[in-house]
Amino acid sequence: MARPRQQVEILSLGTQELHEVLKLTEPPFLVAGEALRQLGYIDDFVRGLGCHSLLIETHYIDRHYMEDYSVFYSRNLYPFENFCRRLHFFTCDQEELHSSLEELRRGARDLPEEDLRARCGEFSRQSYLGFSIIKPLPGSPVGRTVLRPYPEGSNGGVSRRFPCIRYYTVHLGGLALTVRGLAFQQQDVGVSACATTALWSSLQKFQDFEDIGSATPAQITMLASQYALPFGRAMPSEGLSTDQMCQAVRALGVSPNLFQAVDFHTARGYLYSAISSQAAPILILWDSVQDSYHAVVAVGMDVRTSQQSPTNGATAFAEDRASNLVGLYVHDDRIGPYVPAPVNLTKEGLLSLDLPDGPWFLTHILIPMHAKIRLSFSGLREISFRLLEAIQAFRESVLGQVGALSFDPRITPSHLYLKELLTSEPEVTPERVERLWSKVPLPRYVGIVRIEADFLDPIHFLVDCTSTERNVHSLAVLALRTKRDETPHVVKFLADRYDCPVID
Amino acid sequence: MTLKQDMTAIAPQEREITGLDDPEVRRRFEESLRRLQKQTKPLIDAVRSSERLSQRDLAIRINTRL
Repeated sequence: MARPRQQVEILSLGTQELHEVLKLTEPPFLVAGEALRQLGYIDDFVRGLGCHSLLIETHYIDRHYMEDYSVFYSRNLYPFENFCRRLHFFTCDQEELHSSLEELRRGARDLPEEDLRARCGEFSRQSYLGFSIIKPLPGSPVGRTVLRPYPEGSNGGVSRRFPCIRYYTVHLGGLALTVRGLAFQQQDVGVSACATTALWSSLQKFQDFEDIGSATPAQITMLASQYALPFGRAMPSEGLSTDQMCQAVRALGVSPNLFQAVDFHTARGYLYSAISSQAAPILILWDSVQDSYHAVVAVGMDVRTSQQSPTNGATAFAEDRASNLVGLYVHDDRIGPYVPAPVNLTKEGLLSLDLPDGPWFLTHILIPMHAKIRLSFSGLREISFRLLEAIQAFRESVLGQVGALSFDPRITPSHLYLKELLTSEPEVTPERVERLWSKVPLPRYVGIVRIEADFLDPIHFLVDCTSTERNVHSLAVLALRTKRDETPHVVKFLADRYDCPVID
Repeated sequence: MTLKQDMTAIAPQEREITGLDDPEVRRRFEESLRRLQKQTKPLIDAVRSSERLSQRDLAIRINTRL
């Protein structure tokens, strides 16, 4: 019996393309470039991030592929292997990688555990770009891939943000490296098509907040097909319906929040809120030329930072912060991870995304959320409008002023909200955070409506997400600053009107 | 002392304004509110219609390949 053989190679990423390094060739019956398109995208992407060296483990058991193998590929006549290769990408060169890993391994013997962890973390931040599993499937080799995204930050009046990524720990020869990203994989059209893959990626982010098991593509496809098979059979995957996608989410103990993209402004508002809430929304897209539907996951966004008049298309006084959203970064299993997709308003008044193969209309947004969130993005958006109406009426009648108000609704776990106040809001003192925490019973998830105007310091109006639209439980109102004279009046007005405490 | 009283008790001193207790101000407030509600109605209608899903929405087949 042949023994499994492991080999670890460190290579320089030179002029050879990744598929040449891996000695992958395209299988017959596919159009040229079809099978290796995603690998080519990853190749370009990591080079763009400054990748200089590779580490390849030749025998790696990936739980996600192993499950695909056990339910599907093991039953083929052709004996596909049940193991994969794992590629790691580094910015340092081959020599430096050798010596850094050797030094870290020596440190494992000599250093206290905390120090070793810190050094591994530092090395990861400096040099580690992530990993890619290469499956033994010539027609769809790219398996679970977690890469660092493009650098975040502002450039040319646009801020690039990736709120929907998380930390992954990668064990490499006894060392724990870390990478911040969101898992991507290529569709294999055997176990999973785009709908399964998009769900799989989005649920990876959900696990960052909630303790659900890591669902594999095979599990998702099977759960989706448990009660209904409208398109024939579960595998080879012939795609999923929206209903089946919701069934799979539900079967994993998560609540599917499905919205129609009825118009550009509402859809853009949902996208902005969901991404700001770190929810990794699944976008259902329609190609009008081929009349086909596709699913991708939004992982990040480009937000305009230069001052422009944000509008929502319907009122002059309610300005939607989401109007600064100019583009998304999506995981598209046909193309690659973090694909830039500018957002456009179509002549029909709908939202379209510019993907490399052309424009796609957004038809639906599916957001997996904790079951305790009853007041979701739609409810929170409606509450935002109600708050704005009230503040504006107060402003006009009591303060004798006119002008616009902007709003920005999102949902976040309460503990992260408190941490955010402590770390990111310099003028919210630790004592105020302590007052909020000790005086107001907070739910697992809190809805936050941020309201701003030229006459007003930014205000957070907090809503209990376990309440419902008809019985909204307002938690508290707090001003992030109190530099303007009108702010305390507006805060007190909101507290009185919505029967909640002021945190000052 | 209720929670709300407790929290508002620590609010800083504010300059006096003629608030909503004044009937004339209250009337102006209600009038403004009604006008503004008319402006936000299309936005709220859009939100509500985004939640309405038909069998057709649920039956969409998502299976785009390369």
